[in-house]
Amino acid sequence: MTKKIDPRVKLLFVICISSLGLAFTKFSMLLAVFFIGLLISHVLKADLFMLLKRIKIMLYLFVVLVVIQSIFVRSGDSLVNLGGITILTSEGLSRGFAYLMRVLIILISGAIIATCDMRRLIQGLIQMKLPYDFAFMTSIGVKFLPLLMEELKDTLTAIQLRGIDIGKLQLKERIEIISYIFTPVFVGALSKAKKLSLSVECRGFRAFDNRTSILTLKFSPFDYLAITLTFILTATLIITNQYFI
Amino acid sequence: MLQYALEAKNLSFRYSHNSPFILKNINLKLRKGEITGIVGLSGSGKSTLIQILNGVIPKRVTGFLDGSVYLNGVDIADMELSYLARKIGTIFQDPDCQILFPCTEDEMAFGPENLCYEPYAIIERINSTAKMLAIEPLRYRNPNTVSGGEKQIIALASVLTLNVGIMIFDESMSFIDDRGKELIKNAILKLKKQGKSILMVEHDLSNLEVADHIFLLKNGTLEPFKGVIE
Ligand SMILES: Nc1ncnc2c1ncn2[C@@H]1O[C@H](COP(=O)(O)OP(=O)(O)O)[C@@H](O)[C@H]1O
Ligand SMILES: [Mg+2]
Repeated sequence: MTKKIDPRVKLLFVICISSLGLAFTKFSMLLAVFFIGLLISHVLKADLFMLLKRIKIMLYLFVVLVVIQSIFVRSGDSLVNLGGITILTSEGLSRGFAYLMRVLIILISGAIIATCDMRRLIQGLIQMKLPYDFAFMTSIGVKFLPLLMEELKDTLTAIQLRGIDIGKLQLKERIEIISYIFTPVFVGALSKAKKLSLSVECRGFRAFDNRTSILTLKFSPFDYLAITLTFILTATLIITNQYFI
Repeated sequence: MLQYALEAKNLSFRYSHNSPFILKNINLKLRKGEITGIVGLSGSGKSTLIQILNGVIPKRVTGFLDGSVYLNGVDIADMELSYLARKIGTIFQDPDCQILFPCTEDEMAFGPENLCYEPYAIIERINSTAKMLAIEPLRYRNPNTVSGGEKQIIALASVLTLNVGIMIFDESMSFIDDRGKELIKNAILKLKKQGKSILMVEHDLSNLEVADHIFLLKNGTLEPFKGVIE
């Protein structure tokens, strides 16, 4: 069933939660949006494991952010003092959490889009009147970016397996190593993209201003229901944010 | 009726000013309805030659090219790549750099969709191509999860649905197992029967046993191959 949901419905949902995530400032509202997103991405069988792996890095960033916010935003109650300098305030903490929630909402949105079948996503974008070459580019990008990240991580692991602990190196060496890693992966990705674009053109891509399709998306009754629910949910969240919290 | 589907005259090529000539004064004629084979070591310029023949060089990949390529007697220099797509089909060396979609059928539909065929005509073409290549079981599978040989066949199928007269294979047999080779070989023989003009390029001579003529690409020059096929 999850595969059958129209990609345009998923897009609408993702646009709604990520705009709300960016617009809301109250922590409780952000938490609500986050959990709704989490719930839906679970229902859609999104790859939350990937998300979990990214959260690990996020948490590190989160701590740094909370401290920086606490030091520079001089409001809220001081929670932790270190040698006379306040390094944790309630305001810093809540801003840090808000930031964390936002990033998580964006990541969830990405995971939801990634559950779309690529051909159907492209078709969805085209039927939303986007130029077809743009639709292709973005959809292919959405699919290939995670692969690129995986490849980068694999190379990094390979280097660590050889007994080089990046964390222990000096900054200059670290940059050197990282450029060793990045360069081949990016050169590889670019060359692959170039080859792909040649093959695509040799099969007539961009021959005309439009193209036909053996696939036409039609909203099912279930899609209409999902669209309606998304609108109701979004409106409810906005109203709650405005008047009740 | 012309005798040749594709003809290259006095091709010389290098990628940049200060790099050596990859190809030196190459002449090649692809006979209509026959299988032409080119054998050459890795790095001898086989893929480069193919890209000149299908127009990718110099239209998309730049370099210094002398000489001309004629399609049915007409110079391809002034033809758009998208026009050539209706005449020459190329199966590039690496199928991973050709397959876009996670479903074979979508991949096969891609070309004719670009050329704005009617959906029913595209489906018909997919049906007949799948039948000819005996890949109906792969039709709804993900090309990224099949064997190397099957992947090559899918890459071939997605070019064949364009129904072109000239097919170029860049080392389609090189990186697959014997069963995969058998699949490709049978497919190429069927294409020949349909009257298509075929160019096969391989680094391993034993993969060219179906070829009617074989040329050797060496040190940038092309000459008829006079050896024996073991
Ligand atoms: N885009 C390019 N730019 C510069 N040099 C290239 C490029 N593509 C290939 N070459 C060089 O041209 C030579 C021939 O390559 P290629 O045509 O791929 O040979 P083959 O297909 O026979 O293995 C090689 O030395 C290769 O390094
Ligand atoms: Mg090659």
